[in-house]
Amino acid sequence: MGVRRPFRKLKTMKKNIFFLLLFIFTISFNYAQERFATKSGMINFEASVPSFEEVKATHNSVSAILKSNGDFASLALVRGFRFKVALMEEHFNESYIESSKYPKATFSGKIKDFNSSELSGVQKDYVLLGTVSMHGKEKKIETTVNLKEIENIIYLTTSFTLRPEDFNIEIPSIVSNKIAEEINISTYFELRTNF
Amino acid sequence: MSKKLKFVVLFFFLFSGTYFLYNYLYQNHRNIQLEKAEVIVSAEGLIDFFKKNESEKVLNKTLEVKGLITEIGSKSLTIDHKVQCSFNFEIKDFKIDQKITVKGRCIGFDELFEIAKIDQSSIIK
Repeated sequence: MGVRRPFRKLKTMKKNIFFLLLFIFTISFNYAQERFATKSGMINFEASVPSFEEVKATHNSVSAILKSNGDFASLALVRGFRFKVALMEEHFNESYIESSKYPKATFSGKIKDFNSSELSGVQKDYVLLGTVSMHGKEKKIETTVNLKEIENIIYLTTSFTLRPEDFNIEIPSIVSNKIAEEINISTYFELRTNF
Repeated sequence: MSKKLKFVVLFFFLFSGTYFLYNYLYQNHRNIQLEKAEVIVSAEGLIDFFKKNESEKVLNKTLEVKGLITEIGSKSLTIDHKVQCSFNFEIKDFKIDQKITVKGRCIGFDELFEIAKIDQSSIIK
């Protein structure tokens, strides 16, 4: 009996170490698989009105992170939206979005029923729910997001519309007929594990 | 004579008014590459502006950032894991750990990756 006790202690210790190592192993394994991200995502927005000047801007260094549980977050520094017409870009930054006061546009949300193992080279649609924050205001949105995975890169695209009034963006009446009421947003992200 | 003169003067004002209005409406974008850098700093130094809440000193300004390349993309590179520089053209022939100075316009601080971002970048040897 005196000999069995120390053996029992040793067995428990070995068992504990085993589980600890298994825990660390699964955590590190999961961590490597956990996030897909990019710092060079693309967001386009278009607010043109037919027969008037094109109102369109592109951003090419949007950040985004997708976790294996479907959590998705994205951040676009508003100054990075580039317009063809310099004056339009100046108005956008100074009067509409007020980029010195509100330099960021963010999204935070979740892809419903996301399962990274279900992804393949064939595009699949999912529902994305979350909150857009911009110009000091927030709005909940729901949109379809299109995912496919090729060689460990997840290609994510989505389009939706936003209204400037939802974000307190004031468009003066002189130009209001030249800017669409619903702004079309389209995004394209190549999400990788080495980011 | 006076009538003719009035006509010429009026025409002159109309013409120059149109000229200046046209130049205002169709002004060019800033050429960041030709501007003189207002701030010359290390990657860490640029982050400090944001940490100290002094973003207005760098936002939308032309800067030069020095450091070592830690990441390379098709149109962007990252300096010291802290500043991402994006280019309007594809970049080639860069190596990790290469010493570099990049001129660009600061567009802000990205909390998602804790990096500062600059765009319209160009290489200063």
